[in-house]
This record gives sequence, structure tokens and C-alpha cells, in this order.
Amino acid sequence: MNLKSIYKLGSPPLFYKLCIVLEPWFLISSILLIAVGMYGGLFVAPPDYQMGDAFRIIYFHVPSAYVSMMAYVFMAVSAIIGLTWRSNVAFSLAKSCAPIGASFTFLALITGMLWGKPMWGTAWVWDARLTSELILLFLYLAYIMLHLSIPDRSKADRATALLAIVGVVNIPIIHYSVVWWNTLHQASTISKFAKPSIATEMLWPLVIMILGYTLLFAAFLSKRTAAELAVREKRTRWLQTLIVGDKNNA
Amino acid sequence: MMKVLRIIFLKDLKVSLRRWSDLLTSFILFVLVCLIFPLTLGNDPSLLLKIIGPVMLVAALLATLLAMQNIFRPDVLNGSLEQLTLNTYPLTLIICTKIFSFWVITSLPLILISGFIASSYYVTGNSIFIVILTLLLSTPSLVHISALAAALTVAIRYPGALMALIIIPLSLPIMIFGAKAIEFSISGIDASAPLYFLLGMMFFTCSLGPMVTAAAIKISID
Amino acid sequence: MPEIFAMGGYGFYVWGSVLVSIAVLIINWITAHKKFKSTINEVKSFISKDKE
Repeated sequence: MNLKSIYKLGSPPLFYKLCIVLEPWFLISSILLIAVGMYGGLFVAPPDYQMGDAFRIIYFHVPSAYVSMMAYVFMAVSAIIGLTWRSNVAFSLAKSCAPIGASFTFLALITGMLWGKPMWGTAWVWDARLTSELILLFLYLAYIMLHLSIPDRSKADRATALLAIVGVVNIPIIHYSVVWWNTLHQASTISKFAKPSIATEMLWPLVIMILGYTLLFAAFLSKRTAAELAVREKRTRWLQTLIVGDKNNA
Repeated sequence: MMKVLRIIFLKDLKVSLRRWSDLLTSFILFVLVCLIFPLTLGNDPSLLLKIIGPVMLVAALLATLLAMQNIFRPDVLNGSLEQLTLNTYPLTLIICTKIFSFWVITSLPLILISGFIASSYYVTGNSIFIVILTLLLSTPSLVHISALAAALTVAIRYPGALMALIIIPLSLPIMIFGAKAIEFSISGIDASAPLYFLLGMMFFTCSLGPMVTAAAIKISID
Repeated sequence: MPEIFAMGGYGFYVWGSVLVSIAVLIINWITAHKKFKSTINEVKSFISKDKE
């Protein structure tokens, strides 16, 4: 991956066309993966000896939690790139990540509550991981609200980029909260270096669901980024010929 | 350089003291929020001892939020902050001095009165000292986070509750550990672990906060 | 069939999570799609106004 191709990604026409082209592929592959993962998780995987069938919520809870954190890191990295290079592409990416990330965080919290009620007896407990995930939801909402409040677009981009970068401190707190503190939430089952502490028949649907959710996030992101870029670049010739050309063809 | 900072510090103190009604408002808010709980919850000492940690910290957060709305806005409106961004002195140090002057004006009265409020909550002995120490260690972090939120929203005409929406997620770790410190000391356990954490957070926010706030000011003023 | 539906007594929680997840993902897709369509329409009207 040479530097020139990375620089080329910062050009709005190329990125817009990339988003439009890639989005159906992301969507279809993610739907397929999620369907396979759901089938494997809900029907094929054997029930857990401790938790019974309720453990199947893991196939919805873990992927959405993973995507919620990944979306925030993606947002923060796009924010840094946008601030450093004043790039419209990067700022559009960051702005589009926020609502998607917020919805995945909300999903992680809801599925977590639905899992906690039968397992722990209570839907919510104020331990480190749940609290920091809730903080993540509020950070997403603060980002969205700040973006909406500042009328000048480039000022809004840069101010919210600062907010995203400051909030990225929360992500290691969420990730390592089960390591640093004695929490009710269980520790990680999948690690980069050690053998996973979960059976293989239960593991593969989880990995497939995580991949499917990530691709779905990419699909949503590319659609929203394309929309955001179109708004920002509506005065340019390349976009006008693209849109008008579509109208002629459609 | 130090002369410039001293001038800015004294000028901010003088200007803030001229608006003493604003400062009194946030101070009275702190006292009232702390006192409203015993008044409404009745005279149950064990319950009051349980809630004093969270109540003091939430009240400090609300008072700081209210007071910090005025840290940058008047200077932006009269143009002096723009002049400060344009000259050769590092904006980070200037912002640091401003935030420090605001801490002296808004948070020191809170810290001084917190001992009396703690005793009205039936806290005794060493725990009163721990309450004061907790506020002493947590208010600088709260002030720096509020300054960052104020800098981000200074370009908005009517920010409303947006500052609160930015401050509260970022300040939750401070709230949690501050409340834990007070709770530990009241139940007799050694409170040094949360206090060290508060100290660490204070160093973190006080060192990086002014830098990020200066960047936010430059963005908002443009 | 009924035992799949009951999921060992935890049926409400498991199927509830499934439904909530699918609902949130579909809502995400619909809002993204609507936003895209509305911005394209906005750009088209901007272009036609520009041409006048």
C-alpha cells in the first residue's frame, strides 16, 4: 500500500465513487454473514452448561459492542486526519460514524440488559464496563448535538473533531475495565494471543457475526458518507455531472 | 512571560469579582443543592452519610458548570480573547492561567464551605478532612473539563444544556472515584486508592486540558 | 419447534434481543437510505436552481 494511493483516498470524487460502488457489496455480504451467523448461533451451537440457551444473546451483544467501540475509534482517527489535513472526506466520515455508532452502542446496552436480567437477576448494575459503555453513548450524543449546534460547517467539523479525540480516552477504559476492576461483567473470551476460552462450535458463529456487523457498519457508513460528501461538494462540477448524468440515465 | 501571566491572572480575578453576583449564584447553588437533600430526605443519619459523597460531587459539578459558562464568552464578545490568540505568547499558558483564576474564584469557596456542609450531614472526625481533600482534588479536573466544553461551545449563540452534555460524560470517572473516596472514609476503610486516582486524573486533565482548550478556542474564534 | 421458541425458558430474552437487533439495524439502514435520497434530491434542486 503505497503512500500515493492513501493520498488519493482524500479526493472527494474518488471517495464518493468508492462509497457508491462498495456499498451494495458491503450490504449483501454482511446480510449473508449475519444470516449464517444467526443460524449457527441460534440453532446449531449447543447450549452453554452454565447459562443454558440464554447465552445465545452473545451473538448479538458482543458484535454490537465491538462495532460501537470500533466506530468511535474510527471516528476519532478520521477526526485526527481531518484536523491535520483539513480534509472534507475525513470530516464527512467522522460525522457519518456518529449516528451509526450511537445506534450500535444503544443496541449493545439493550441486548446486555436483556442478557443480564435472566443471568444476574438485574437488568443494570453500575459497574465499570456498563457505566463506561453508557458514557460512550453520551459521548456520541454530545458529538451529534455539538455538530448540529454550530452553524458554520468547518468550525463544527473541527470542534467536534476535538471532542471525538478527547473522548477516545473512554475506549481503553471500556476495554480494560474487566481487567482492571472486579466487575460483574465477565472477562473477554476472545484474545489476540491466547487460545479462546470458548468452544469452537460456539466460537465460529460469533466470529462470523462480528465480521457481518463490521461489514454492515461499513455499508451504513459508506451510504451516509456519500450523502454527506454530496452535500459538501454540491457546487463542484464532478458532482453535478455525476448527479445530472444519473438523472439523464434514470 | 510570568509577568504576562500574572497580569492576566489578576485581571481575570478583578473582572470576575466585579461580576460577584454570578459567582455568588454558583456558590449558593452548591450550598442549596447540598442542603436540599437533608431537608427533603428527613433526619436519617445513616442515609445522609451514604449520600453525602455523590451529593457533594454532583453539586460541585453543577456549580462549576454554571460558573464556567462565563469563562470565555465575555472575552470573545469584547474581542480580547481574539487578541490573545493572535499575539506571540503561547495560548496554552494563557488559558491555563485563566482557568486557574476561575478555579480560585469559583471552587475555593466551595472547598471551604464543604467542611461545614459535611458536618451538617453528620460526618465526623477524619472524614471531614477527606471530604475537603476530595473536593480539592476533583474540582481542578472538573474546572478544566468545563473549560474545554466552554471553549467548544463559545461559538454557539444559545448553547443551552450543550455544555452539560459534553461535561457530564467526560467527568463521570471523577464523580465515581470522588464518591467512592468519601464513602470509603465514612465507612472507615482507607480512602487512599480513589484519592490517588483523583490525583492522577487531576494531573492528566491539568496538563493536557489547557492545550486542548487552546486548540478549541482557536477553532471557535477562527 | 416449540423448544426452539422457548429457548430453554429464556425465550423472551433471546428472541427479544434478536428482534431488537434486527429492528435497530433495519432502522439504521432506512435512515441512511432516506438521508442519501434526500441529499441527492437537495443537490438536484440546487443544480436546477443554479442553472436558472
